[in-house]
This record gives sequence, structure tokens and C-alpha cells, in this order.
Amino acid sequence: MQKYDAANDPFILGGHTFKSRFILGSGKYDVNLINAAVEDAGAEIITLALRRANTKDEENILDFIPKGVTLLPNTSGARTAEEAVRIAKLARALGCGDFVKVEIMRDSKYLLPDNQETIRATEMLAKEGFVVMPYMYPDLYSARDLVNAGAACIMPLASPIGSNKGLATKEFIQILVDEIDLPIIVDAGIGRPSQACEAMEMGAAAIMANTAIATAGNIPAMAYAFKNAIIAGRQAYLSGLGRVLARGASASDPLTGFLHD
Amino acid sequence: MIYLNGEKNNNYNNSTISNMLKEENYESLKVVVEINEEIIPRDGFDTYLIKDGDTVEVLSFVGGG
Repeated sequence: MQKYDAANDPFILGGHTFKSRFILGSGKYDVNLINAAVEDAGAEIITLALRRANTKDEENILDFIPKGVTLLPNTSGARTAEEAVRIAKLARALGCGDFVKVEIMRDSKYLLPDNQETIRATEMLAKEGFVVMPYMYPDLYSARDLVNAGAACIMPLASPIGSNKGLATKEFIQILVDEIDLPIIVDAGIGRPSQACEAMEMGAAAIMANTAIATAGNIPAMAYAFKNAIIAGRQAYLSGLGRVLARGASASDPLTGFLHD
Repeated sequence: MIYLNGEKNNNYNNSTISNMLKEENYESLKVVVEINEEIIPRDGFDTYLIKDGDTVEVLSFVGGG
């Protein structure tokens, strides 16, 4: 039996190969902690957002991200496919590569993604040569449309963004894992390492998390905990989980004892 | 008068983008500039002249999930 080694289990996304299956968000915490968080998470992909610029008196997040990390701009703020495309092109003009996380929301209370607009944006961006990573509400038909639109992966939400409520959509994510022939990256709502581990055990290809880490007591330490949970879940998935009995028990000790024989 | 990041501004009619970025204290390598929803490539910052009525957006990356 071989020991698990991430180097032998590459995560391939949009023609790029990664060792880490943890995509780290960079929102809601001090830029000074980003370097430590990325390093302790072992993350090779970090998400960013695009906003009206601060003047150079203020800190620029790019100065705090370790070299070699793939930047994944999101299209947050977009309410339509056209707005998402506009943001994606602006982000690419900043020289961060071709990756984009499509995030389109028209609802400001629950921040749920609009699957229909997301599918449209994915098609437009894929045609422009982007590696498109669409954040979506876990729905099989939408996921199939995203595949046809040229998505590089599917990013279903576990529960509402920033809620830390965990795998509320577990059954539906499992359907995507089983039916969709693209990496399924669980994004949004994962609140604890155990939930990240569970999603990986289910066969998710990777986990994206931000708030769970940003709101933790010790940000780099929580990033490290997530890293280990994701590795454990991946290893469990590759190992094949033990079976569950419908009822009754099955002794794990030999029953041929001596006391009552 | 132009709109610079949503605010009325009277300082940059016929100014280059490079000049506007310098005066506003932006780092040109860390921002992307859009004028009337068209992205202006960085190598055009020294030559592109901002004109009256332009809507100028100067954007950069921030933390996000």
C-alpha cells in the first residue's frame, strides 16, 4: 500500500496541474495575513475581486501573495453575463492569466448564484479563451449546460456564501460528482475542516473556502487545518470508503473467544 | 468634466492616462484603466488622451472569495 502523495495525484484544471486541492479566498481578512494563510493552506490558487482602485498609499493585495500562486479573479458584483464578461476582461488586462471564477448574483439577501446568467457568461468567456470556473447552485441540468458552455469545472455551493453552515446541498452535490465529467469544486458555505473533508470523501475534486478561515480565531492555523482535512478526505475517497450496514452490527473482533465457549 | 471612478472631475481633460494616474497617486502597474467601457492597454497610457465627457474607471484587485 502506497502512502498518499499529492504529487502522484495531480489536480488538473484548464490544462494546468496543481498539487493542492484547496482554493483559498482572500476576502475579509488583513492582507498581512495572506502570505501565512496561503503557505499554511498549501494553496496554489487564490481568489481575488476587482474593485475601484485605492491610491498607492494603501496596501495592494498583490504585494502580499506569494510568487507562483495562480490568481483566480472572481466576477463578484456582476448581475448579468455581460457584466461578468466585462469584469473578467478587466481582470485579465491586469495580467493575472486566464482563470476566472464566474459569480453572478441578482439576489442580495441570500447571494445565490443565477445559474442561467452564469451559463451565458461561461459560454461567452470560454469563447474568449478563459479558463472558466462557474460558481453555481447545484442543479444537474444547469451543470450539464455549463459543461456544454465550455466550463473548466463546476463550483456548486454547499450553503449560502459566508454562512459557514456546511454541506446543506450534499445530496445535490453528490449527483453532480456522479454525473458530471468535470472537476466538482465545492465552493461557498463550507465552515469547518470536517465539512471540507466530507465533501472530498464524496468525490469533490477540490474545496474553495474563504469565510471559514477569515472568521477563525487563528487564520493561518485554520488554513492549515483545512489543508489537512482536504488531504484526508481525498485520501479516503481514493481508498474507497468502508461499507455501511443497513442494520445490525458486524463484530470487528474475533468472536471465537474463551469466556462463554 | 469627466467621471473618474464615479466622481465628477475637472482636472484631466486632454491629459494622458499616465499623467492622471500619477496625479491621483495610482500605481500604473497595479491598475487597469477603462474609458467608456473600453479597456485601455497599458502601453497606451502615455499616449491616450482623456477627453471631456469620458467615464474613466481605475480598478485593481482586492481580497475576495
